[in-house]
Amino acid sequence: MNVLRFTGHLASIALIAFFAAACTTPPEDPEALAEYQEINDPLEPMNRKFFAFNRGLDTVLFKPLAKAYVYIPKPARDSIHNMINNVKTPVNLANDILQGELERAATTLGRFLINTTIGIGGMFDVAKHMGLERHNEDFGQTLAVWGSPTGPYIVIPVLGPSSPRAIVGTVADSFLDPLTYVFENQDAELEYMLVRGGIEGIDERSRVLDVLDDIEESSLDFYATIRSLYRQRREAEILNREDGADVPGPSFMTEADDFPSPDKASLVQ
Amino acid sequence: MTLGLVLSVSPLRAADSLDAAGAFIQDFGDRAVNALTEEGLATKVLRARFRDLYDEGFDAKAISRFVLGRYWKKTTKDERTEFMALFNKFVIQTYSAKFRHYSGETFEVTGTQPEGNNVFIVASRVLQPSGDPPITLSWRVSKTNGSYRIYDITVEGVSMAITQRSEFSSVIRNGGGKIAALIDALRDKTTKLASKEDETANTN
Repeated sequence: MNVLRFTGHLASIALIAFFAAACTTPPEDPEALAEYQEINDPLEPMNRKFFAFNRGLDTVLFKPLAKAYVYIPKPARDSIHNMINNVKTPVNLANDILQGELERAATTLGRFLINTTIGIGGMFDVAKHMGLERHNEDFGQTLAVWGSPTGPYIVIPVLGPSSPRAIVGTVADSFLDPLTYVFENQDAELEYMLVRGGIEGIDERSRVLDVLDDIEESSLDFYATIRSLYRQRREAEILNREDGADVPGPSFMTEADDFPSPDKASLVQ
Repeated sequence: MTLGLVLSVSPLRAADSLDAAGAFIQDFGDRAVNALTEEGLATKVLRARFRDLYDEGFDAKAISRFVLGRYWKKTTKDERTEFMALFNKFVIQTYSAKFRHYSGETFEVTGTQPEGNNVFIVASRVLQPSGDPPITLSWRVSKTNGSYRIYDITVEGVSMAITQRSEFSSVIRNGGGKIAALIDALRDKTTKLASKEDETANTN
């Protein structure tokens, strides 16, 4: 586990250093600098190009596929979704354990046993109705828990928003997935990755058809909105805040400058 | 139902405020779900209902100021007035539209916790008739002069105020650091969205 921790840490730092070479220069004004660091997107010009490319690809390929996909009746789609989640169990479980979250590991294992048997190979999420709610863990989150920095925002062509830490996590997760080795033996690991990635991608896209349309329509800067959404979602996943408690947000009273109490928020200051 | 839990661990007065904050959100959320998820509402009606709820329950002034972040101090009085008017319009147009895709949901407060002096976080969830996982919403509420006002909603871990501020600061930076760039963009967007007023909302 120490070797894993060291290698993961090293790999994300190496990737951050690699991307740092292509960065824009930070501003000098302290407030502007603080903003620059908060946005943490020194590769913005390149990222925006990839983002535009991905949007084009989405318009001509992914969105139409997802729209066609929803013609399949919902129960069938739900079963596919459940099976995808069930297949992710080993990776989820490994990361639960690596993060020292033993209670969550037990939930993951319990869900797998119940859904694989009573849920007929994972087609039905029976465990959910028994109080075992699903959660998502990946090695990127594990690295975060271990203290690796996330690094700058990166938009990957085809795949979308990410970070050096998340990229390292994805690679590590493929090694934690027993099916990788099964298909490797058949010399079909590339096909496995593509097929699985494709099904997962279409499933995910089909679930946010309305939501993404809404966000796009209501955005002044779609790129900046997605960047903020991605970051905050990721943060919530890392801190396991699925219950909605203890969420971050603007603090009302303490940052008087940023967010004044109503009596101070006069227009004539 | 969660109120009993809170009572047992908090001093009485603080617990009263917690109770009241939770009750305020439960009532507000119930009324919002009822008013906004009705099927076949015309966009115009949906927006009017949303506007009433927004005016009543939210601290629009504080939100306007927060989403401008560090640029707030650099604005003139006229710019602020114009920004606030456009931003309110923008919020009503865009956030009301998000309700077009909902109907048959139920709303429940799941817990309340204090976050400093007279500020509370109310956790809640929206149960979906499709059986999909519930949507978790957290409300940041402040109490002033005995009444409660919402100043942020966090949806599945994403704060609306932070997202908005992040987007707006990006528009300002790309517009040469000028607040006018944001005001222009908001004016264009709200004008464009206003033309949708006559469409009938589709409810999926």
